[in-house]
Amino acid sequence: MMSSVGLPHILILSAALFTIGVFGLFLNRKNIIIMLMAVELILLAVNLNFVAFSAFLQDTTGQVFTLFVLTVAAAESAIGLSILVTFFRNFGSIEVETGSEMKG
Amino acid sequence: MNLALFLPAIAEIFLAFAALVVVILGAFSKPSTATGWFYVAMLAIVFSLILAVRKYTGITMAFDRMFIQDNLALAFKCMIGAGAFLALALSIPYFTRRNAAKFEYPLIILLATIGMFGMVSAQDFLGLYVSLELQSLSLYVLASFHRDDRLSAEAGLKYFFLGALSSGILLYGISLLYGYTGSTSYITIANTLAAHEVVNPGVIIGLVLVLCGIGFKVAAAPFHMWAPDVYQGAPTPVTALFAMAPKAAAIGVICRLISSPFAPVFEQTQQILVALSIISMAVGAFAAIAQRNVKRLMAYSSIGHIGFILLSLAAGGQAGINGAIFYSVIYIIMSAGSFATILAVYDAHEGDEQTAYFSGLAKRHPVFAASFAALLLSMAGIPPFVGFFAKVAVFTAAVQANLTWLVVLGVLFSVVSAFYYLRLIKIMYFDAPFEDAAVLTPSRLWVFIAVLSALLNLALLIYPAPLSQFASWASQLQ
Repeated sequence: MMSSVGLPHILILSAALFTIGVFGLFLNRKNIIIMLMAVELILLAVNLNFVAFSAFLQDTTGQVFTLFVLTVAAAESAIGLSILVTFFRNFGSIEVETGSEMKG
Repeated sequence: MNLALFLPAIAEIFLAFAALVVVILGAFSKPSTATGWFYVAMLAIVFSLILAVRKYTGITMAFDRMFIQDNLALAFKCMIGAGAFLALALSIPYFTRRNAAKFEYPLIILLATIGMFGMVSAQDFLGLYVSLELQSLSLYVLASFHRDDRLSAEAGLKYFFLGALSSGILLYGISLLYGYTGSTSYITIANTLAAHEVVNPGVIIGLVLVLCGIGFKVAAAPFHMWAPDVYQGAPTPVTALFAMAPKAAAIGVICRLISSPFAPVFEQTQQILVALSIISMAVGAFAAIAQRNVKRLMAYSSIGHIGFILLSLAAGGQAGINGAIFYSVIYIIMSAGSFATILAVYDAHEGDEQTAYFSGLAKRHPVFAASFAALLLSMAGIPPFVGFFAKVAVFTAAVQANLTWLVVLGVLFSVVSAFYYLRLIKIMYFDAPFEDAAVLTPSRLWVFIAVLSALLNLALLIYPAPLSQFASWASQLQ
């Protein structure tokens, strides 16, 4: 039974990963690094979707798209980490709760 | 190799070269000459637009039909270019007065402009995603540009995470559209969707997610929660940029999406646009009433304006796009003048933009008070000013599309939002100046931009033909 894993399984897995990523962003109140990891999880869930559809459709566009997403994700983490550093310099902490001076 | 193949993308290619020149020469230049790079970037934007207009020969495609140059793209590039140009012009006095000019600032704005140009010209979801990210990543950096300021760091962080989430949602939508239509090209998706009578639920989910992702970028409610914080925390000239250029770019993307890939499923698209429009107009009208910070107030005001633009887009077709372009141009003009005034009034009070600092502005600087009052009345949509005609254009498009009930709601919300615009005028003209209020010493450039945009407000009222011709030319899609 080698081919028992089909497109629906992968789509459900990637939907679950995507949801975990979104919840990781919203429910996490501790650490900004974990939020960065949640963002990466969202992007990887999308990549899984693209690769699965690409294999299913016998079409390479999805895989090319994946490469672009991976590249942009690397740039995005670089920017995210540098903003994190400026945040840490100003607040002396990387807890989410510390940085909420603006309200309303 | 035939170089003419790259001609449709000449503006982007020129700007990319300009950015490379700025990054190499800027790194070796003295810090004292940093202001020069602001002028270089402004010139580069103007030249790129001149090149794009001069070399325009009707609808042309490039890069294996992933990139299109047509009336819509060119018109939105002019609006984006104008927004970036004005934001750079507003920044020059701001940074020279603080002695904080850095060559990275115009460089990042140039990169963001390339991204925004690419967004409105994308003819494939891959191109859309990559240019959208180029724009967003540049804007995250700009929001936290004052790296020693707590508010700026917080704004950058919030913008980054909510922006990254919105890109993720957009991407997930794109992946579903790809899976259910077999392509990422706008044309192929439109053809595939048109060929099927029944719309697959997967396609609808993808469409909703893509529109929500773009909704985040235009700060349409209910995806607006980043906007007030980012507007407040970012350096004021950056806020001015946020209010003008990226909004125009994302509106351009929605125009492109409803006229090309989502045209066969317009019924479903329309429902989402109507919902976003109603909620945005309501949030823009009611949430701003309690605001005492002018930059947050401008954020809510821009959410409300986006609601009106989305109302026009929900009407769909050429009339809807026409109304959206008409409104966006006027919105850019109004924002430029308002932010020039805000920059001048809060020059000495950055980070604490209470409306109270406007008190007695009529005595402290009558020119600013008069031009800002004209702009506020225009934003409220009160007849002698051109903002009224912008709303008329939008409402006409919606009535023609049988969305009269939506127009009634829009009029009611604009009445509510008139309250906080008029309150600012009351503060400027009737409140006594606050304690230790000094005479304003604004830069001449700020006065010039504020007066120019107030005068344009009146000039377009007397002679609106160029603007309405521009909008109807831009909305010709074939």
